[in-house]
Amino acid sequence: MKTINLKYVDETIYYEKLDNGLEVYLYPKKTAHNNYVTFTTRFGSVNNEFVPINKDKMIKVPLGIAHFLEHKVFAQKDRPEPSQFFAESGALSNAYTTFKNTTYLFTGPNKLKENILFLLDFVQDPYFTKENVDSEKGIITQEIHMCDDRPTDVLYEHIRANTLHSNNFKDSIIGDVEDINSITKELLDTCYKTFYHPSNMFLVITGNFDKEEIINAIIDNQKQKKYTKQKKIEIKRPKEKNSVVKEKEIIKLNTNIAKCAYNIKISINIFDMDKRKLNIYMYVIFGILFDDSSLFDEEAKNKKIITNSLFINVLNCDTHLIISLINETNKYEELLELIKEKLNNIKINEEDLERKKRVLISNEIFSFENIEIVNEMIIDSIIFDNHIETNIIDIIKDLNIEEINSIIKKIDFDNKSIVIVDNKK
Amino acid sequence: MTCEHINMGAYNLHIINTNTFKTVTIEVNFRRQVAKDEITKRALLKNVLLNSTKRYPTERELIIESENLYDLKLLSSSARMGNYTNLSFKMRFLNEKFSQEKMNKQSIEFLMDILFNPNIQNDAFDKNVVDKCKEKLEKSIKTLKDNKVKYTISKLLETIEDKPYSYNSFGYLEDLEKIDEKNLYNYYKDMLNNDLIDIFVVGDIDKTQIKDILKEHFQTRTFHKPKTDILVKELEISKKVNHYTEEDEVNQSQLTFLCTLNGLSDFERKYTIRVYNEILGGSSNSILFDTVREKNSYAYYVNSDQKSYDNILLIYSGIEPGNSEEVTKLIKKSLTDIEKGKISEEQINNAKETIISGIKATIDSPNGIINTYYAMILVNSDDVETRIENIKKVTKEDVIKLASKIHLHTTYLLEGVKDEDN
Repeated sequence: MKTINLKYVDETIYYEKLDNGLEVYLYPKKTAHNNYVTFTTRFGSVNNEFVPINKDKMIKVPLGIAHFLEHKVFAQKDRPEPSQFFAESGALSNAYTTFKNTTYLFTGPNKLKENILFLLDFVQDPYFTKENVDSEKGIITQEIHMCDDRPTDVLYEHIRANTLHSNNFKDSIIGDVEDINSITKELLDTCYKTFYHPSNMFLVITGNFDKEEIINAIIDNQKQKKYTKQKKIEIKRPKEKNSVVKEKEIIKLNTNIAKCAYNIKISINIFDMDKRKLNIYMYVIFGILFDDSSLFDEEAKNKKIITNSLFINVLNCDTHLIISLINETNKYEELLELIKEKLNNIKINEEDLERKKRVLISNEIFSFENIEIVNEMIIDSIIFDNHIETNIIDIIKDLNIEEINSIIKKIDFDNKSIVIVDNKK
Repeated sequence: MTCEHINMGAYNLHIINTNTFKTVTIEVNFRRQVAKDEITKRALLKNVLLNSTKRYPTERELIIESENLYDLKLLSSSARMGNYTNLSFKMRFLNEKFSQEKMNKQSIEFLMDILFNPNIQNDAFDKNVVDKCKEKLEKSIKTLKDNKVKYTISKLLETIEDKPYSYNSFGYLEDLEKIDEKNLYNYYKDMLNNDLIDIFVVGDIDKTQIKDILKEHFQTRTFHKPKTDILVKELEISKKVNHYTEEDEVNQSQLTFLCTLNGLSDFERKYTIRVYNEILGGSSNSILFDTVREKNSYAYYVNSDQKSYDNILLIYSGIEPGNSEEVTKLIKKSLTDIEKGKISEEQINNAKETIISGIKATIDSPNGIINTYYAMILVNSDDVETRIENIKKVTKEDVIKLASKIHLHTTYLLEGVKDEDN
């Protein structure tokens, strides 16, 4: 087992890569009472054009299929139903799908080893039939309807749809009703065989356990399963124009207070910088400009344009960054004007930067309070950076005003899209 | 892990010394008997106090200071617990061992400043601050409708008159209008003097230091404070179930149920009801989930939630419009199935294991630890080990017996209709 030491926070993560390609990350913590275990495939909603395993031609699968597959992996032939099995030892199980990954998880204090092996077994051997695939369609359609009733979800869907042309991040993770109805057992098989190979997956275990005992049980379990070596999966690389799709859209919905988003689209190619560091810089820059410690925030609140601070979202969609400034207010036109004004006259000083560094460093340490957050942090690192960054605090300490200014100079702040969800009455 | 209880005269201090965490958490709880016309004041007060102090007179200055204190996190919340209303101020900061010297003292004094040294002029809060917070609260009251689940449950509860759970916990727009910087300040002083106060500290920190800082800053002098029985009086069993329907332009209908709990023993209230609820609708292995969602695909979600100190149990589901009668039948059937004993030993066992896991997991976080000790004060709950032992003791017969004490009382349906304009 390899040891990954995280400087400054005084924490250690253990790592092992198995013969079949499966990667395992372990974070044992003596004081914990609970355990948190996740099993993740690098298959999310954006991966819908790829070369299937043992084929040579690129195919396109319906949108929403990764999420549909997540639901169906729980279908088993001879094994007990997964949630039942976990419940027997008081563990809770769940799963979720994002743009870039699908994760299966359980949390519980008892029978950790048995539960880990069961997690591996059920995810690695699901049972799809025409009937159980068809019966899932109704449930997922209900889930789509539920999202349509939430004004905030509608806002987020439009932010991506109105900024991105061809990048798959533009589509919703869940798909639409038409996509869902075109999903078949055969398509699920194809996706499953391609993306659920151990070499495309990783297991993260955080909690109170003996790391040798656990890793040995996992190695034994995986040895019993036959997998042939798989080449690297060929996935269509997104191409994306720099322009936005719609510069402004007002959507009428049933809501009391309007929601609005000011979205700036930034090409990643123009920066010659590690993407983790670039992300941190974006949080720092837009935080200093617009968060609750900013002069902007004070001014907008004093003028009664907003009551709550802006929510700042940074979405990295491989080709571009979408920076969204989001708020709930009926005075959205005034807010948008004020944001524009601020962006035309950006000033960031040393003192603000030093304060934000304290915040970032402190948050790194805060994360280790909770085994669930540590687990999520590891998943995020693997998906985003493909490894665990050990010197993140050094990166934070090295942030400097010169780089901030050079980043700001490169951004075209006018390349924006505005989305508003307003009351129809 | 042990908790040291210190009587500080007008308030109680509870210190849980542990080196499990790299942070220190302090929670100050104010509570008194709930009154409908005070809810809005308390909801507003929790924002006003966190907005500015004498030393940091603007929100921005206050936030900059909290960031300088290594991103000290500050949170306030108001909640109802049975007949009590509870206002809590919580602070979490990096232990100075991981930041820099003297940070513990500075951080605690920052909290003291927020609670006891607000931005007062002429015997009133700052008008600007109060106005801003009023607007913010008005917005959160108005946006309740965006969340269809919460909205429908609140409408269901409002149909029951004169019970604390029928009060809207965010507050009321008509009460908000009447609040100004002066009467809110008076209420604040009243709260400091007359509320029951419990302070919790979790972390690796010097006990004497905390006591000294509190003694210096905590000025309340009232020693005799009235205690209330936390348990809300039972609702009478209704011979006929009351039905309410409201139409809305939604894709998914919300169907909710209120059941009364009648004649529960202390053990049933603390333990059996938790097992019952877990089996009925606590998880994706529950009877409701299995009957309504899995077998019939009628609903995307269906859950139950027990409020044993309110003597009620809630069931809520998101369903396909037009299916409410079918779903109601299935939910009624699920309730009678448990009463008839149509539950397996396996279901009982799984429910118990799930609850025990939950109890164990709570002590992994400072919040969970505080909640555990606060519940001991509020409802005389047992310690973690005893709770686990007692959950293990619950039998199938206990659950069946309890089921006969649960009665459907009211249903509220938010029915989806198509928008006629489109």
